[in-house]
This record gives sequence, structure tokens and C-alpha cells, in this order.
Amino acid sequence: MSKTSLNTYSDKLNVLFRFFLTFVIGYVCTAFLCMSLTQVFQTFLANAEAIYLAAFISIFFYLSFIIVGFCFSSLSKLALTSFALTIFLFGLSVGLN
Amino acid sequence: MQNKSVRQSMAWLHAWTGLIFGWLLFAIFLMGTSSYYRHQITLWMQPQLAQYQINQDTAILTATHYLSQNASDAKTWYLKVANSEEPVNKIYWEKASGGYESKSLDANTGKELQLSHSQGGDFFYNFHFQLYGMPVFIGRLIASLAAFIMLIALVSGIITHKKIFTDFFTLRTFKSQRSWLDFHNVTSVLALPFFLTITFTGLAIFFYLYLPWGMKKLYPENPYQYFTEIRTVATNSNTITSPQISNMISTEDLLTRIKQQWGDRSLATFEVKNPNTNQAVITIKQLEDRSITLNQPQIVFDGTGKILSNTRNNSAIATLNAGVYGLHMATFAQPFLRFAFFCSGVLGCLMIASGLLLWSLKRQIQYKSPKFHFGYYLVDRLNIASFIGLPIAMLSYFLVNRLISSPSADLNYEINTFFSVWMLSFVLALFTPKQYLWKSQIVIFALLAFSLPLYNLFYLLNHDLIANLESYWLFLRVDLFFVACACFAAFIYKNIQPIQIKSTQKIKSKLIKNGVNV
Repeated sequence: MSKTSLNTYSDKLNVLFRFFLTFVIGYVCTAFLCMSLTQVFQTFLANAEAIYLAAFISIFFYLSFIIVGFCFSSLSKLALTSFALTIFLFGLSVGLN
Repeated sequence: MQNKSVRQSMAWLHAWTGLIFGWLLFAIFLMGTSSYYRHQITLWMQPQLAQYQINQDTAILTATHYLSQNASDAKTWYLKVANSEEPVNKIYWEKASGGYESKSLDANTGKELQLSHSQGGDFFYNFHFQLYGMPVFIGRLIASLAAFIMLIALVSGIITHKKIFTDFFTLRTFKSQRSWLDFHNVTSVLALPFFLTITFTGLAIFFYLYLPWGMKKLYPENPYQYFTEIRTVATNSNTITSPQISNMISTEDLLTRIKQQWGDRSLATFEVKNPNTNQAVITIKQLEDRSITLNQPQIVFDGTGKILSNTRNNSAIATLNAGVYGLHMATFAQPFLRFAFFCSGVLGCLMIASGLLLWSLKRQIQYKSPKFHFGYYLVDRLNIASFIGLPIAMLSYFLVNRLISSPSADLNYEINTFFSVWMLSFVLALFTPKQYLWKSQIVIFALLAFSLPLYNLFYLLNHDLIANLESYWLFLRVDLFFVACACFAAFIYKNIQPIQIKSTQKIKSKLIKNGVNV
């Protein structure tokens, strides 16, 4: 049997949910991180530089989020971590604004 | 996905992200690789331009004369000065009423050029980052997503690798399905730094599309002010009062001053902000740029001809931004390094192709039933339509340029042919039995690649477009690449069969082992 085959309906749903968590929730986290970093960098860098550096770091964050997301064996732990991180980054971006 | 090791999870991610975006990535990589020589391709496709003898002083004089006559009240003038590779003046200006206008001018006479509507190499270049036939924003967003998937596939592929050095020195050529894996490993490792760089820089260039919040937050009135500030340092003198009409230094005098500063250097661009006003700022950049950070020498004058201080933003972050852009565009790489980049791009295409072929073959071997599987059937056909159909479509794009000279701006025969042939290749693949899939389309590709240089020579002689070997070289360099493609196709034609035969034998023996009648 292929190592990568998806046997049951439940397997397929799990994979779909994992994709949702890593790509969609990851993107939401990245957006909040980008906004927060822009705010932080703006205090000691020019506007354009703050925007670029924040975006540059955020791309690496998004990449790491997806890679790490696929390393988690437990989907529930991944979901919990993702949502906790989203709430934290949302709070951070709102707080910094 | 559950209860898998990190390496297995990464292998899974690598395989599926690679499969879903593989065909699009192949097209983007192939078009991007061709774009390294897009000016050469454009010259090949517009042979009348190859006849032009360029004098840059004349080119600047005629272009500024045209702009003075037709856009004297513009907010900015921008001139891409003609040179030997691009022998046409390209100008655009920002109108006083808003909006932009652009023209191509004869570099010697300053008259508007009515060129054939061939996009030349620019079609490949534009396709590789914004696709075609859809809004530019959507196309760029899709290309960015593809680049991101590529980055994920590269990183997960590296983590998946257990024996990266052993595999690098292992190449079981044209033997079985292991050959695809070996090709995939070798091509991946050989140019890995290039793949990581080109993918990441491509992704970072378009960050403003998918992470626009910083720009919207800090520049709520005009988010694109970001681009001005990341490239240039703010000069506050221009923003205090509105510009008043005033005479500018003559272009002849300006050229004399440039020569006093730089000697006889080739120029790339000539830009004027607030032309014909007391706040005119004239920026001239040199053509030769050996810096990765797009830091070619530039000189800035005011309207009276006084040299101003450099307005380039040289901060560390601005340099990083320019470096990311410069690394992707590779304007600094001439000519051997450029060729190395081109070869790395070709390796990227081979890496994607061998990965997709491996995916398909591996699953067909693992498939235990003799029943028809539509998914594998479709993947096989899409592979052929991408790996051979797309190159055939590209060759057709060149061929139609020589067969039809279209004066109509409404219908671009070359681009229409490109997409029609690509679609035709897919339809043909759908109805071709598996054992003839590769060979049938490779033959078409090889014939086209071999006959195109011959027909081109006939065409050029027939239209008196070449006088000697030097003038022929502008076309021959592209033709030689076609010949190389034909030879490569012949090589694949000869060697693809052992892989197919061994794979079929393996699939059959597996089915027999499982007690299925074959």
C-alpha cells in the first residue's frame, strides 16, 4: 500500500483540515504578524523600510508555519496551537495599533 | 498523515504540493528561463530591428525632441535609451491630466515605430510572472502562490532527503523508475541554491500583493508611495511649491556634461521629473550594471544642468530590497554567468518534470488493480502536454512569426497559435495510447526544432535581412539553441523506451504476484 494514499473518508477530511490549518490559518497569522512587525519597525526605521522588513520576515514565518504544521502528528494539537497563535498575533496587532 | 515521522510527513507534503502545482511551475520555470534571453528572442522575432545602427546621443536627442513636441506639460518623462540589444527608444510619460502614455520610437529619426505586433521574448517574460488572459493582479497572485508552493516543495524535499550526497553521485540512467528518482535528485541538488534564490526572490518581489497591510496602514492615501520611498530618499524642496514653467538645459549641453563626468559610457535610462519647469530633476543611469543591488552609476541634474546629490535610497533594507530584485532579474550576470543561470533554469524544468514523472510512475506500480484509473491517465496526459506540448507551443510561436506577418493589432497570431498548439497537444495526448505518448509528441518537437533554423535561414535570405555572418549571428544564436533542443529530443526519443519497458514489466509482475490476470 502506498505510504501516501488516503484510504478513508476520514483520512481525506483530516488532510483537508490540515491544509486549512496550515495554509489558511497560517496566512491569517502571517497577516497579523506582518502588521505587528510593521508597527514595531516603524518606531526606528523609515516607513518603506519598516514595511519591507516586516514582509520579508513574515514570508519566512509563513513558510516555517506550513513546514512545522505538517510535522505535527496530532491534528488536535496542531489546531490548538494554530488557533492560540492566531489569537495571540491578533491581540498583538490590535495592541500595537 | 497521522503517526508519521517528520521525514514521511515532508515526503507527503513534497509529493502533493509538487503534483498540484507542478505543471504550472514547469510552465513558469520554462518561460522564466527563456526570459534570460528575451531581448535576443525579441530581435529574432523582429528581424527588421536587427538592421538598426544605434548612436545613443542621436537616440536621446530625437526622443527628447519628440517628448518636447508631444508631452511638454507632462509630469514625468521616462526614456529607455536604445542600445544594441534593444535598438528602439521606448518612452512613456505621465500626462498632466493623469494617466500614462507610451510609444516606441525610431532611435535615429524619432518617428513613432509601427512594428509588427510580435511581443517577442516579452511574452515569455510576462507569462512567467503574470500568466496570460486574466487580470494582471490575479495572474501575479497565482504566480506568487505557485512560487510559495515551490518554496515549500524545495524545503520539504531537502528535509525528505536522507542521503543527499550519496544520491547526488548516484545516477541510474534510463534503467527503470529509479532513473526518474535519480534524475530528480541530481537535477535538484545540482542547482539547489539557484532554485531557492530564484523562488524566494520571485516571491518577495510581489509581497505587496499578498501582504499589502503595511503599505495600506502607513500610506493610506497612496500605498504605492512605498515604491518611491524604498528607491529614493525624500527631497523636500520639490514638495513645497508647485512647479513653474521654465526653460531646461538643452539636451546637447546635458549630453556634453554627462560625457565630462563619465566619458563615452552606454546609457540605460533618461528620466525627467517636472520637465520644462523650475523643479525639473533629470536622472541618467548607465547601461552596464555589475552590481547585484541594481546600483549602476547614476547622475542627477537640476533643470539648469547643476549636478544634484544622489537621491538613491542606500539604507540597508533598501539595499536588501534592490538585491532581491537584482538577484531575480540577474541584470548583473553577463554573459557566462547568465548562461549558467539559464542552464540552472533548464535544470529546474528537468527537476519538476522528473518529479512529476516519478509521482505518476510510482503510483502506477503501486496500483494493484488492472482496472482503468482516470487520475493516473490524466496525470500522464497532463505530463506530456506540459513537458513536450509546451515546448512545441513555444516553437510554434516562433514559426508563426516567420510564416505570418500580421499588420492587425486586434489578433496576435503568434500568441493565439501558442495556446492553440498547447491545447492541441493535450487533446492529442488524451487520444494517444500510452506506449506512443512520448514518442509521438517528441517526434513533432524534434522535427519543428530542426526545421525552424533551416526555414529561418531561407526566410532571412529571401527578405535580404542578413548581409554577412555578423548580422546572421543575431539569429543564429537562437537557431543553435533550437538545434540543441532537437538533439536533446532525439536523445530522449532513443532512451525513454528502456524506462517504459522496465516499468511496464514491473507493473505486470506486481499484478501477477497479486493474482490478477494481465
